[in-house]
Amino acid sequence: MGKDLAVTQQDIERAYARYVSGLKTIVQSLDVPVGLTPREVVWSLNKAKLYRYLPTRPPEERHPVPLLLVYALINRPFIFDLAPGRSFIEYMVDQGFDVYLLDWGVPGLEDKDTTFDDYVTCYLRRAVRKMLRVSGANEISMLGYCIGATLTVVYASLYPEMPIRNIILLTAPLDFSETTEGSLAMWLEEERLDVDKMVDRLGNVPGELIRFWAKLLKPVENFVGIYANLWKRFDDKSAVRGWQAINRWVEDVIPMSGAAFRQFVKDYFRANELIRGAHFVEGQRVDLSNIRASFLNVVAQYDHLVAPSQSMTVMDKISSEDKELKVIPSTHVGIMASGRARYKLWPALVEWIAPRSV
Amino acid sequence: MEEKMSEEILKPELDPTKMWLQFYDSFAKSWSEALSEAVSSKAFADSMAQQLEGNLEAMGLLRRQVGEIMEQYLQQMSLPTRKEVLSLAERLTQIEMRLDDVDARTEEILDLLQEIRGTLPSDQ
Repeated sequence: MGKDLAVTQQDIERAYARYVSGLKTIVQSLDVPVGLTPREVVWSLNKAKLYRYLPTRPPEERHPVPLLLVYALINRPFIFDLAPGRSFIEYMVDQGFDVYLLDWGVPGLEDKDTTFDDYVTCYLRRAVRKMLRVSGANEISMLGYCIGATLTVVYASLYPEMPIRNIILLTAPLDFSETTEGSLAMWLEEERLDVDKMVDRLGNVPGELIRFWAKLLKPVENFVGIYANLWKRFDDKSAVRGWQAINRWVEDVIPMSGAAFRQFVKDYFRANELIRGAHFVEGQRVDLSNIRASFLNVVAQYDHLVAPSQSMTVMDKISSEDKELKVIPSTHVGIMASGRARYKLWPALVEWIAPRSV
Repeated sequence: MEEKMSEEILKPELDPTKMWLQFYDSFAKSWSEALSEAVSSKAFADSMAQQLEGNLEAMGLLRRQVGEIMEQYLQQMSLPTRKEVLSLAERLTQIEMRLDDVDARTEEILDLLQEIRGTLPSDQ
């Protein structure tokens, strides 16, 4: 009886110690170092910065076509560079790619009138110009992820004269014709969200609100499941480190320029102008058939934020002869941050782009 | 941080968290389906919309009132208002864009000059 009681007391102490350690792990994740791959700023404009990652391979082993990574306007782009050994950028640099990252920065209230299209015409256009200059290359490759993929597609359609050799899209929200699919669509419908009033009142749309919406789509997984997953792998230090980096990325949200949000909801989402060929920027039609670059479109089968149907129809609209649609069993974040991404998708991307970067 | 993480914490024989995890695992799927269905419903979307609308109204009223008071105060103190500072920041960005274009154009001109110089006979 006495022995049983002693064990119980020890159990309680150990369980408590693990519980406290778990809480510490969660809290510390908000400051865990991310984006550690060595880089330099080669261009900046307002809050936007263009980074070039320092090569690790000798010049003769590098691919001559540099790669530009374009991330979304929501969340930070360090999803591409979570931690050593878990960094897509580190992986691509080690594979001999000259990697550039366009970081949009954190918009202030003075940027509230920057539209979605402005990010293409004012920022992306200039960043590509600088990248061509710095790299000395004649052609570039672009990889767009989430809304970064939408921006990439708009850019490539709008400037067909630019030397884009390859385009890779990851979970690209492009076609919103099936609006009933998924609850996010319902929340953005005209009768429910007065986007003008929202933007007029708030200026920029708080990242916390967008994160809350995104999390609410899968409430059990996002509010409880992520902590259950941490607890299950709590004794695996590497897994815990990875969890912390992803958790920091999820929590480290940034506001979205009010005008960009308004335009995305009204023109892109509700009116579905992009895929219908009805979107105009500075009087010029955004014509998807202008895209002729080699084109790889990666879709995550279990993506609850960007339904696969939103990404697929672009394949029939572009003029690229060399094009491929790849549907993988992954999620919106898992497509870049999971173990499966590291061991399967990243090598597959290199396998696709390397022979097209000579 | 790594060191702290590496502190060995032995697994207890009787772990309440483990029990919670077992409970979670057995109900997660059904909970997830039920709640995902609930948040996808029209009723939930309507309720969210109403809540957001209410918050926006309250926020708008508060901001307008505070904004007016602050603007009057700053004007009386001969200090720039938020609107004026924002306008200045916007103009700075516009100037930065123009400078970026001038920079790019200058580089192009320098390249052309370099090319022309290369075509000239060396004694000139």
